[in-house]
Amino acid sequence: MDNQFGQRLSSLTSWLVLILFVIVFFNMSETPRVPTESPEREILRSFHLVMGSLLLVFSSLRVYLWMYFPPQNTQRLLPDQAYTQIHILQFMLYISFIAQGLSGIFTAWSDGLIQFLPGTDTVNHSLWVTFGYLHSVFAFFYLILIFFILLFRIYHLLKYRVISINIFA
Amino acid sequence: MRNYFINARATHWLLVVILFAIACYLPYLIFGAFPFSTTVNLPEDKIENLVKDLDLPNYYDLYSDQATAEDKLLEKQAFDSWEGGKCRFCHSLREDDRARMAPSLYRILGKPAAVGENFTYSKSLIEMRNNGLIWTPETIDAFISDPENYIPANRMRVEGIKDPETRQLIINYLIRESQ
Repeated sequence: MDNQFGQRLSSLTSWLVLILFVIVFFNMSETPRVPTESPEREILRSFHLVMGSLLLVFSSLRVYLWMYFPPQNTQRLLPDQAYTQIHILQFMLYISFIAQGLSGIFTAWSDGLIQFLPGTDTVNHSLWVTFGYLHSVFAFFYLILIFFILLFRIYHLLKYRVISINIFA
Repeated sequence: MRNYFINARATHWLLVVILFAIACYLPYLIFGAFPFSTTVNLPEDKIENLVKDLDLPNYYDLYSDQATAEDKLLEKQAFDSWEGGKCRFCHSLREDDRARMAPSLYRILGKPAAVGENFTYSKSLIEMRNNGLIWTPETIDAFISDPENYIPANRMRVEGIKDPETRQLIINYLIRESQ
């Protein structure tokens, strides 16, 4: 894979992750307001599983591409140290999406929603509680990361006169 | 990639660790969630001992036979909806349901507090159980009207239901669904 193609693929993957994140974010904001056991809730949950899985897949691809084609500081006025700070937060954002996806798969698996071997009872309440908690932890983690990335972007704008609305690298 | 990790400043990673630590605490702080469940909170014979000397009525006979389909719909909405009690978002109400975010409320009336399986109760609720708190229509009404005030430091992180009619509908629903 040549460098130019790698950079383009990285950029495309970032946009896909951004779109998927927005969809999942609105889905997870709306779902708790719909009563459980209702048909709408089931539809929203299935949609969440599909979109969340896609987010996991594309975030994994983005991290893979990051290793071979890491984003570069293209803004001359932004010091390297300040760039590294944003860079780490953005990298951790993708890691948190992956961790969120994996904990989500285990939550659904321990809830009996997904099965890898048909007819196998995978329901385990203790696992469900622990992975459900972790799923929630990673959701809060990426929301905090996004907040801090935005905060640093504003700080960089004020201090170094560097404008960038790029959150997802 | 390797150079990137080596060159990254320790303080940058420290910030990430601090943010992750905050994220670990937030589900507990905001939702009252707990990272593990306790398999059995109290043996069945001890639960029976807590209520055996009390002369409790059969609360499930109290439900009005006159309830119309409209009444039943209102009760369900009060229990389910975001505008009502929001109870359904954490509690289940069927015999065969597992406890979810919060304990199942199936046949909750007449039971001592904090005796459900698979749920890690707050110390304050366990203390209330040891002090003799039994769930009756009156105690449930008092609790859901202002949870934090009725049992300080409990883990049900919702605002109280100020409307007495909504609270009554919820209690009716608990009775009807457990009959």
